[in-house]
Amino acid sequence: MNTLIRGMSSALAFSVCLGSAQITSAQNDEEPQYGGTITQVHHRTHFTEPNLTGFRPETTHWLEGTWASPFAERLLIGDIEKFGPRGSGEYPFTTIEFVPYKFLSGQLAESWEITSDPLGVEFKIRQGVMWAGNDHIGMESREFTADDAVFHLETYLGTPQADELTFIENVSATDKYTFFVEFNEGNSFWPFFLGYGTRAPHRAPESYAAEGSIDDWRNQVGTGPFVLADYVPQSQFVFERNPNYWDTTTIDGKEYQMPFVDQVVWPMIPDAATQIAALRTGQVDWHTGVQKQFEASLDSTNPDMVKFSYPLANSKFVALKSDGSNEILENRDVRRALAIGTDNEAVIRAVFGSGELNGFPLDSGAAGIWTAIEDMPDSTQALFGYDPDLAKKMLADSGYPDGFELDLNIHTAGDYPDLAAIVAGQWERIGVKANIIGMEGGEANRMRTEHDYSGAYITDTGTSMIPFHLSIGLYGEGRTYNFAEYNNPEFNERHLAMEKEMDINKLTELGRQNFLTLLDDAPYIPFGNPNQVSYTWPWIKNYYGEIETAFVNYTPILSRMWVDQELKADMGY
Amino acid sequence: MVSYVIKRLLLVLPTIFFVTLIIFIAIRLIPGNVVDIMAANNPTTRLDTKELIEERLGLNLPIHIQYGHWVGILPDDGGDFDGLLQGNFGRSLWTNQPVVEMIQTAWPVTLQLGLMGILIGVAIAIPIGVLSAIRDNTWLDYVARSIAILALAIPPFWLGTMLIVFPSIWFGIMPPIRYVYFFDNPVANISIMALPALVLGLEMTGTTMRLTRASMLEVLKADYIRTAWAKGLRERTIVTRHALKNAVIPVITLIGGWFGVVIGGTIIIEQVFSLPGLGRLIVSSALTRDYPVISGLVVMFGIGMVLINLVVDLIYTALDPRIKPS
Repeated sequence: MNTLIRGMSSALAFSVCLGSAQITSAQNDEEPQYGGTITQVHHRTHFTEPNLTGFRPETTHWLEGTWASPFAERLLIGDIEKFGPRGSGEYPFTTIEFVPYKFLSGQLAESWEITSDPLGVEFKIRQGVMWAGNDHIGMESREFTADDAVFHLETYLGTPQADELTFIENVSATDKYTFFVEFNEGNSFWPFFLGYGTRAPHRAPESYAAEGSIDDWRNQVGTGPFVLADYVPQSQFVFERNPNYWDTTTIDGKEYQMPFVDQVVWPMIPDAATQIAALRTGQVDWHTGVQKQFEASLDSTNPDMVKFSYPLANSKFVALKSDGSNEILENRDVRRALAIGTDNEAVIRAVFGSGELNGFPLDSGAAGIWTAIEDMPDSTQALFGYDPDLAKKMLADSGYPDGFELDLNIHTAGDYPDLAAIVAGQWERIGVKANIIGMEGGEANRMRTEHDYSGAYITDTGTSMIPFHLSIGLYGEGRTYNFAEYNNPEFNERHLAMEKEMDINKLTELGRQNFLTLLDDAPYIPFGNPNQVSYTWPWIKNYYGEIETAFVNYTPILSRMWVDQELKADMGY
Repeated sequence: MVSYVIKRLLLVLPTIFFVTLIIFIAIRLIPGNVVDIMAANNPTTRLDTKELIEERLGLNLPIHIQYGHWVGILPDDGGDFDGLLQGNFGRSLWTNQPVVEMIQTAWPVTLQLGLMGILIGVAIAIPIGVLSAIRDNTWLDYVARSIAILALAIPPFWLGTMLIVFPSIWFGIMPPIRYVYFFDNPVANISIMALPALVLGLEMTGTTMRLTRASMLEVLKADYIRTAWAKGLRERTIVTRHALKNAVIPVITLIGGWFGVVIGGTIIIEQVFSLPGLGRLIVSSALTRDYPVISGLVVMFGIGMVLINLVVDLIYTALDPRIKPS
């Protein structure tokens, strides 16, 4: 068990180092070039159906921030240049959707200050950042101001999705480059909600006022390194360089204007095999989310490609209904017995190929909160082991010497049928008969929000492992992500405290305690996080294996990449 | 003839009315509605937020009111009639984009794919079917029938995936992934559409070829064909000028029906080849419970099928004057 984790950690570190070494050695001899196109497939490409690719940040599907990120910037961003593998190396930036507070820097915000009286955050806007302008709506390029930031937040505040912003009392600009967000109570996750989260990309007020409003792709205006040049629903996004972009990067001591490439293309390829074929044939330059099952084949046909392996923060688990509606599962020892009777390592090997065993409820990127298995209390460590005899004994001691029957609800797509089959087989050994009940996607989503199942339900965290899930999203009372209807007063008290705690050290400690409590009580049996691989072609330079710099944001990575067009031509592409 | 056509066109209206009613109700009966999916994908959603979303989308209204608004027989909050009858198919519940615009970008792709697929299917199937019939029980016939069985047996999604995966591994090639519309660049467009159209065409080849063969065999046994042989006409003349016209009538029926099957067939092919067509749109709309988009697409398909059936019937009368429109 520990060997697996150590092995995975070592492999990950080695992969990153190997990749960094390759890039560094190449970089010493090469001058970055301007021009060219990067075609990227990311691991949200399969979400790119027209129903989900809207442009209204405050109400559309949470992935809207993805499509806008090349042209719309945020107040805060993960600083890959300072803290990532190309900088100090403190943080790999491979955990998706989350950046620890200490690795954030200002993007649209030059600085910020938390105040206690009044409670809130004062942002100083970076001066000289320009909206790109838009001929379609007759907008000239102009400076981004505090009023624009206030407009964005106020637009967001009146929508149903703004229930995550109830801690905000007021937003106001105090001068051209300063605005203040007043809180009516503390909220530990303001950096996410205000700074770098899903609805944080800022759009120009002129886009809303134009005919068709922000919903029309042609009306988009941002301050980012690219502009949205073309959008063909179900086919592609095309972003072109913004010649007036404000930011620069430093490579080998020399400063360069960003971005380097003329164009970024995001093709929408729903089928995984087609994605891999496009990568293999050079039509795709960078794929961030290649599943492990394709790795051997790609390595044999395209050994030139550069790869970085990382655990995907999308933990799948079995939720055990713990609200008393199921008398059997209300018993903590029964839940723990089921966990001990589940061979997580076997699941990872059989379904994912490889992965991070200890990745629930947060993955190792949640520094300070995440705890390695060997550092956990003995009772929690035991849950990551596999001991069917002990599990049977625990069930007998709990009053179930002959086992029991349990409904196991699953979505019939993806990995869930495989996971259910393996779990059912393992539980049968300890006397628990699982009745697998399959559901179509809409019904499965309904169950995700209503929690009206009895027994067990296999689902996932939805590719988001940010710590606020530990307090607000996943396990809070009345929250849609509290699938198991877990209700531990001690846990609840800490999660409510976490929600309001603005001191990062106290927040981290509360999170760490809840992390361990949640695992120990076993309302969820986690399967771990599958490893994925990021592949680039050798002509893509200045890439160090990072995946995201904010919530679904690849842009700071893309704008630092450059294309060795001569090498690409020499390789026949 | 004109009155017949007008009568058929007028029949479209009650047909479409029943189609809209059935679809409007049916999609709302499916477990898991659009609000569930919206809430399920946002971890910060509170359970009471779902009611606010329902209200914003107008889904809290009684279903007959929602239907009336959508069709355009009841006024909206502003007192305007703005629905299907006024040419407004509504807006996507997710993106707020007009359904008409969403369909506008997708239908040319599916239409082109369907037409190319049918053309390829017919171009392969009819000559082979005719050849198979006139060389009945020879090696040529056996080979042709085997090809037909193979075409029937091979699933299009498998064939499409194999045609993408193996050339990419063996030769490092695959169709372009960035879609280009035909009128923007015909050459690029054909290079993208050729392979998926071939896969779609092959799906239709098996049945069409077998029907052509069977129909041709029957016609070739007719007295007038024996007379033609007796008169010393050449085989080519007998087949093309006398037999084929009659043999192809049931095939026309089949091809007319293929237009409906094409929609179903293109779903898989559009997914595998990443084509931005109606097939993918209707699947994603169904999965995300985007009711206006689903309803709009079904209305469009319904009207299309009725019109296609009318065209097919008119082609009959052109091919065989004995068939009168009635």
